[in-house]
Amino acid sequence: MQRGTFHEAINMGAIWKLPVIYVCENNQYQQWIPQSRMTKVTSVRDMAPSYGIPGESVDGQDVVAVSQVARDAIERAHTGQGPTLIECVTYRFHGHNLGDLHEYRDKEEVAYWVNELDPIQLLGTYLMERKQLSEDEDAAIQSAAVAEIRAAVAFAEASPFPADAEIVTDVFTAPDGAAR
Amino acid sequence: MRSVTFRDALNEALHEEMARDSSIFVIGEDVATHGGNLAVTKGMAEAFPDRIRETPNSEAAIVGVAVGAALAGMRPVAEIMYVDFVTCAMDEVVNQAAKMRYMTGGQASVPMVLRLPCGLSQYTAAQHS
Repeated sequence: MQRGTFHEAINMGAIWKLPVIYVCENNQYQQWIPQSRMTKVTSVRDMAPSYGIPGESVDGQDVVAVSQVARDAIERAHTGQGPTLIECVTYRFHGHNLGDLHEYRDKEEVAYWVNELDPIQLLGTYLMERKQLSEDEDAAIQSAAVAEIRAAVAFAEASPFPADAEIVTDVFTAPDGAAR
Repeated sequence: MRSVTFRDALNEALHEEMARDSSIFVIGEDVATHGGNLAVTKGMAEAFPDRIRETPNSEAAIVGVAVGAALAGMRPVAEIMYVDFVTCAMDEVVNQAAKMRYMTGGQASVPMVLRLPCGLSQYTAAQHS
């Protein structure tokens, strides 16, 4: 939301009453700098009234809360009431990049979010408390997800690098539609 | 041989192509009111009321809309009022429109026209006026 296109796009969606939902997945950091140092407005939601559309801020770690807010926005979009801006307040569990030394975030802050506010664990607890998910089912879902990720990593590592010739393919489309 | 101005040739070509292909639309600043800043789209808002889309002064979003529409199967003709202002949209031109085909391994294409009028007169200096 610090870039011009964010504002241009919301303004356009607002004047044309487009069925758009603008979602800001706010992990509260740039690469290494906290949002508070670079944006005076605390909540992205508060930018919405500037463009004449409603804004919501929701706990991005709470799947059920996000779903409820999204449902209202979808209803607005479907009924011709125009766009909604939704800020999902979340957190980046890992570094910005591989090799990120994490010298810019308080260790306790990271540990709190990772240990106490993991959205997958929170949803699991929510469902188990309501007897909609058993521990066995939860474990099966988690192990299936881990297996899928491991298979994807193995596939990527086993795949060859692109051939040198690919650097000049898929660059242009000729007027006759043929790819060059 | 028939002789026409650039303006009339552009207007005629847009009319013909838009009549032929319903996926074509024009997007840009002031393109409907009074037929556009340079009258290139004169009469088009009347002929194609839903397909001449006037925008705020948002060059990056104009090109961004065109890129998205082209990817989704439309044939946008995006106009930046003066070529000087295309620099406001360089991310969309360079990193989105131009690279999309390569980045997707040829799976996506961005068939759009970007109109950048220049050389209007001897009075348009470095920043259009």
